[in-house]
Amino acid sequence: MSVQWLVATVAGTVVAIRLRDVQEIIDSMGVTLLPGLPAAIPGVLDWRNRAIPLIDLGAVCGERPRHDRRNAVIATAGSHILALLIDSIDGIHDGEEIGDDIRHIDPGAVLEALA
Amino acid sequence: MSSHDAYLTFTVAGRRCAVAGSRVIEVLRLEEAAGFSLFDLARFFGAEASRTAPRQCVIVVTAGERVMGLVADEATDVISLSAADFVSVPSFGPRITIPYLSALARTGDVLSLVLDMDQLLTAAHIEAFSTGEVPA
Repeated sequence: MSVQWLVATVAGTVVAIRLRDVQEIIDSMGVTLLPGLPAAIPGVLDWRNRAIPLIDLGAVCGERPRHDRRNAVIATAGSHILALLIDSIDGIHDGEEIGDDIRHIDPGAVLEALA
Repeated sequence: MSSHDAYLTFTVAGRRCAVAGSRVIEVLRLEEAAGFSLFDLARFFGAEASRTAPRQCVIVVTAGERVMGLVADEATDVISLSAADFVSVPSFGPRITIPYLSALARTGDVLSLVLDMDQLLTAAHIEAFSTGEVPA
């Protein structure tokens, strides 16, 4: 069975997330900033009547953290649900391989590295 | 917690906050707050130190034996919150905690930060973020 990826751009970096980990893609409205978290986690996103951790994928990719990117990918990471801030969606990519110039994002590993 | 509790809502550095009414002694204008030790919430939140805002006020609260004045940009409302209005703070993983935040509360169409006074006004935080007393 083929693997599908959601391809997106954040801070000029093209990233790919396994589509099976993606719940939804939304406008990043409803951000609540929480001080005291690592720079890549500006706060929480109000999603379906719950607050879920908001992670700036730009900061994960080494860019200056921002909390005002336009879109958020709602992704599952084990028992967690995360909102990953991105700038834009590029499309869906089919196939086991993703290009060397595309950064593979594993939501679980992202959370583990930050938290 | 009883079924409905009163909370004072206020804004600091663009953030909506709430504190349990049982902890609030009074709300004063800055110029009325002589003699109270002030806590710079804006700076605690990582914003620049609070600057004069047109509706700036001091929310006088208790935390254990302490009485402190929280500098807020504006006190917005006294509201009643029931259990259904609270939204849990999610887990961010094993090494991250936000002790000063007791919960999030749905107030209007935004989430407010419900602050835990005992965890916010610790000796270490006061040391770092107190702006001293307002001269009498």
